[in-house]
Amino acid sequence: MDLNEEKELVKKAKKDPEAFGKLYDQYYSQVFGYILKRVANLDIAQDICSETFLKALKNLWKFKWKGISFSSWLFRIANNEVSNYFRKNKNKIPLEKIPEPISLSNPSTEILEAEEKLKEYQDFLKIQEKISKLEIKYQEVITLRFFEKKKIREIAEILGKREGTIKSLLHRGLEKLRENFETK
Amino acid sequence: MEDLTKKTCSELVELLEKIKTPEIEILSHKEKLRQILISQYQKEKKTWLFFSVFQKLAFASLSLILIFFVFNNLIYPNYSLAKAREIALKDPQIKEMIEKGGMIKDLQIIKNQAFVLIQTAKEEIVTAPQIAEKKALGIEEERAEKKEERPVALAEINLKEEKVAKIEKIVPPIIQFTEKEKEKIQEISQREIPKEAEIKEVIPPSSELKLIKKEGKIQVLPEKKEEATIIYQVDKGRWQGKINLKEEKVEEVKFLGEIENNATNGK
Repeated sequence: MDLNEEKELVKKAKKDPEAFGKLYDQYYSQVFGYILKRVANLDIAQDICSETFLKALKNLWKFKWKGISFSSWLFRIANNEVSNYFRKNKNKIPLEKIPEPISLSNPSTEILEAEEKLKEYQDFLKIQEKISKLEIKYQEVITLRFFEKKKIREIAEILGKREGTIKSLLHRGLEKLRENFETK
Repeated sequence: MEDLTKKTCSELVELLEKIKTPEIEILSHKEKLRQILISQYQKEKKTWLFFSVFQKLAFASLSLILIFFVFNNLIYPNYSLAKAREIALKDPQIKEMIEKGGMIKDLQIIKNQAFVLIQTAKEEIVTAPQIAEKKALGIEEERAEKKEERPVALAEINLKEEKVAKIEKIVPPIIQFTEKEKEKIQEISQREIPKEAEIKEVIPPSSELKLIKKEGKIQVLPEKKEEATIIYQVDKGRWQGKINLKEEKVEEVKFLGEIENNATNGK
């Protein structure tokens, strides 16, 4: 979808629930994917994704095309929700120790399959674990840049920061990530 | 996975760029969330409407308040002041005062009324030091007579009817010194003028009137200057000095003349 189509759809979505549904269909996968790459846990990713779209619905009337596209706006909400989650759970159990959904009562086959599928991405999970130990500001730029393949300009738009700031955050973030590997 | 402990930054970047990320979707969650969002849509739409109307109203109210504030505090007072001045200058009595060298000293607006303070011609005003000089030289009787010649006029203007409602003549009062001020004057004089000098008189400054808005009314109040004039005598010579009470020093010392034996000492 190009920017003009997105603009038109957002305009319609402010009046028509079906148009909002189309917007949702368009961005659900991207948003869910980003959250999953940040938290590496399907249950948490589902919760944060739900929260993100509910917030988007609540605040849709406020959304105006002022230097930020709708997709970046959605990513910004998702990013804030992930950050909130990390802040709230800062002193709680580390992510890797959160019980697997397998232990939940009667999980659906779909979730089980998704869990199994996630385990197949071992390289990703290892690096993600190291990234999750960095400060949130470094986690978000590295994930957006390398896992979401976003351009520096887009990351700046999502995070509401200058491109120069993003570049230096990326540089420092990678340095710190490399140090994390060294201190294995 | 290869050993990451000895990787350089560029190798790390290469690795991150190549890494395969999970592309997982939980369709049941997607569908359930979609239903929830659509069912909440109408409820949220009402909230959007409320907030957007509220936001517009708040913006409109703020703009109105701002316009009212600017008009009331910047535009209207200046316009009214100009209008009041114009009405005042059209009045024959005020016109005459101005033609004789008088001037508008102050102007204040309260509701639909304007108050204009007119100072009569300068030559008619006798300042305290002038009186003092004459007094020192033994011609003090002129003081009372001249005092009457220092009035200011207060014109009340009805802005709605665009006319001068009344003109009142006011004589500026002479502000007397407080005990503390008297002590201070004494102290400064002793320090600053010759020891053998005898202080003949301490004269309060001439007060200038000003219009002051107080509790919705206009008051004509004198502006107190922090100064005093002293007349002192050393042998037969009479001197006048102006005391600056703020800086606590004697300024502008002036020789008034030699006093004759039969002249009044002016106490």
